[in-house]
Amino acid sequence: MNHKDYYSILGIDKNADAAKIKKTYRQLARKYHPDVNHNNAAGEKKFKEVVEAYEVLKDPEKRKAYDQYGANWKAGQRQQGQQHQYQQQGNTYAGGGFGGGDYSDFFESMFGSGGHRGGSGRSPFQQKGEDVNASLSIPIEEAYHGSSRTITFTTPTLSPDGQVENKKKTLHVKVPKGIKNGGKIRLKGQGGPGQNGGAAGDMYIRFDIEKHPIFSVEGADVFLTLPIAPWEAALGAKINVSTPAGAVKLNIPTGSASGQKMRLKGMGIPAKKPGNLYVELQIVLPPAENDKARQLYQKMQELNFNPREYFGVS
Amino acid sequence: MGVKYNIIHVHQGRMVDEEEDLTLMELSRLSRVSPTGLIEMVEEGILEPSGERVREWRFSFSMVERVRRVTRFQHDLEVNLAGAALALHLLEKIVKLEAMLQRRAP
Repeated sequence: MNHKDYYSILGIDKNADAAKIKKTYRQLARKYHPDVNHNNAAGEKKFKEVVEAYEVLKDPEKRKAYDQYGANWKAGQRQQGQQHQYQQQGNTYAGGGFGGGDYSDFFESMFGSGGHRGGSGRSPFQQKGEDVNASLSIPIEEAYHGSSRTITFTTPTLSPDGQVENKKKTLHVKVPKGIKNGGKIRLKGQGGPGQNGGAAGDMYIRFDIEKHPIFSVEGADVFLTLPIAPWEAALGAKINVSTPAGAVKLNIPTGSASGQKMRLKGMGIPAKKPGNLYVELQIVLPPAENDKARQLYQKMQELNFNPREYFGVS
Repeated sequence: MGVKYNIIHVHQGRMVDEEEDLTLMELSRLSRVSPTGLIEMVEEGILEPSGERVREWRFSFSMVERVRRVTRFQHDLEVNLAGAALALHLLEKIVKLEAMLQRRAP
């Protein structure tokens, strides 16, 4: 068990006053909060340390005990009365913060864990099992048409002697037609086992739509960049485009420009509120790498076209 | 000779942001926030249930995570409900913008 230097975790002086502690905590909490910095494991670890340090230093009693014994604290040193005292001040904010209830061994040996833990197995009450989260990558076609998938994951399960242990579990899951990018489904009762007769937790599966060279997906809306030739943009054209919703004949109006967007209503992912398919035109110039192409570009010079007219220069 | 079939049970989940089937009490139980607390979140515009009267309110499952997030902000960042709502709003905007940026990346 490692000693924790709560002052250096917050980066403050041992004589810092309550206002300084509070201010520093808030700054660090905003900086490292896992909801603010998603997918940042290092930040999350730092945040938990910060929460733990603040939990001790904001409370004059705990801070006093920490200042007095903290530096050479050893497990089992806790006095009976002291622990009792801290357990009474339990944090009643059930399921509150991110760092809440997940303290270091050092903290628990000094202050105990009673009262702080929302989800601990030590209470004699009925408790719902833990929710389990998983994610699956699916190609865009599966979001349009649905499919089924097999996933394997480790999850807490109840062994015959009543212990909770991590076990491999395989589930066959239906990918619902119309699932959005990042959309979740909930499988009732497929999470961790409940305690003392409580219901099992649920399993949440998030579906991420795989990166596709042509399509990208935001929620239920699908975006497609369509390369077109300059003459197709200038003169108009009918272009066949294959989309996950099927083949579409697109009418490119005369005088179209690069970056122009066309909306195909309801042709995005068929969610309850179906998304749209947005086609962004991108004019691609043919390279002038042979005589014929060069001649054609030279011919176009005869147009006396000045793209910088608005700049007032030629 | 008999044919052996493997019977596979395919689990069919409920889409959490599509189906609106949680009542106020159920959302309260799942998010561990009191009904009064949830009503405040509706008044703040953080939650938008379907249905007119409180008794008819229905929430989608994705609201569970939203409520938990708001309570985490209130608790961890020591902000009030309006502050938590603002943080939530801005974060959602960032997620959207990041997705847009990613889309534009070559």
